[in-house]
Amino acid sequence: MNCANVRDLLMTDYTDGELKDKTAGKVREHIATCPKCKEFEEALKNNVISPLKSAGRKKPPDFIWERIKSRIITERETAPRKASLRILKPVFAVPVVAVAVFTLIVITHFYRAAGIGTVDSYMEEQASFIANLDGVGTETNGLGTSIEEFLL
Amino acid sequence: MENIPRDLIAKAATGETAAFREIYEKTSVFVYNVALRITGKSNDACDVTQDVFIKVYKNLHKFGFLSSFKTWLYRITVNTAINYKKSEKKHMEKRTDYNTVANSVFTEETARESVDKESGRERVSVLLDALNPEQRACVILREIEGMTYREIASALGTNINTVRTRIKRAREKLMASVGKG
Ligand SMILES: [Zn+2]
Repeated sequence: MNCANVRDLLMTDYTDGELKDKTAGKVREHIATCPKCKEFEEALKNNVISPLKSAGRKKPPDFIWERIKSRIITERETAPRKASLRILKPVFAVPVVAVAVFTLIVITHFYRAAGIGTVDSYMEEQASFIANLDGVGTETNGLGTSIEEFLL
Repeated sequence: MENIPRDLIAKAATGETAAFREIYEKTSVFVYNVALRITGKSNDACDVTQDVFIKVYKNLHKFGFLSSFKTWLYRITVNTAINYKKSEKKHMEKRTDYNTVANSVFTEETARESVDKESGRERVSVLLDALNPEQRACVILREIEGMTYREIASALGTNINTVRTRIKRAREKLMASVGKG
């Protein structure tokens, strides 16, 4: 095992206890006889490993739980509404709209065939009536209002 | 982190707040400290911790005991903290005015910490500052949480070799930053 191999292992597996005993033993043997690698190991330990290892843990502030609790309560209140909205997912929207359009076509045909279909002519009458109102001027405001109410 | 009993998870999954609180008590120190070391700021660590537990709460019913709860929580914590750190970096690069403000806050916090604690405390933040979020995560889970490469790999959803490489690069950077590289 040469210095480069030893330093690679010092940077990783040896230091982190990931080596098998046999390989770890070889690294230890090398360090014991190589002052440069011994120095490298010490620099690594003192400057990099120890400061991080000795970093204490902090207690999370109490208000975090309070915030989480209130978010949970909000979640719980809004969750059922979300569930019902799922019915309107795009996946469902396509067949729903398709069925609606189909039904409308069938109904229209049925009414036309039955001779009840005077809807078109009724709309035409209404349209021309409203168009005429514009030309009547401001004196007939009362009538205009009532027509608007009727149409609404 | 201590083990979380299966029945406690099951109870919490049904929406029992007391059970969820117990899980929080057992795991929040881990979540908060990993978040703190990855983000580098206590305010951000609070936001991340809150986000993590809301994610856990929302997804607990989907957790099928196929993986370990701990691994699941490790992963949510690390991902949330890394994403937080990255999105913050993006914001800071776009807005220089905000950058200055955030930096001053960070300096204040660091200064306060060095007054509160022994000098080793501040060194940690300074050291970790030299690393990218992924390297930070690996080093933190290894040094502060004492996890094995295998545990870190599953927490990060990656393989052992990637973990090893990140740890090596991180330590090389750290060695260089203290002038002993
Ligand atoms: Zn050597």
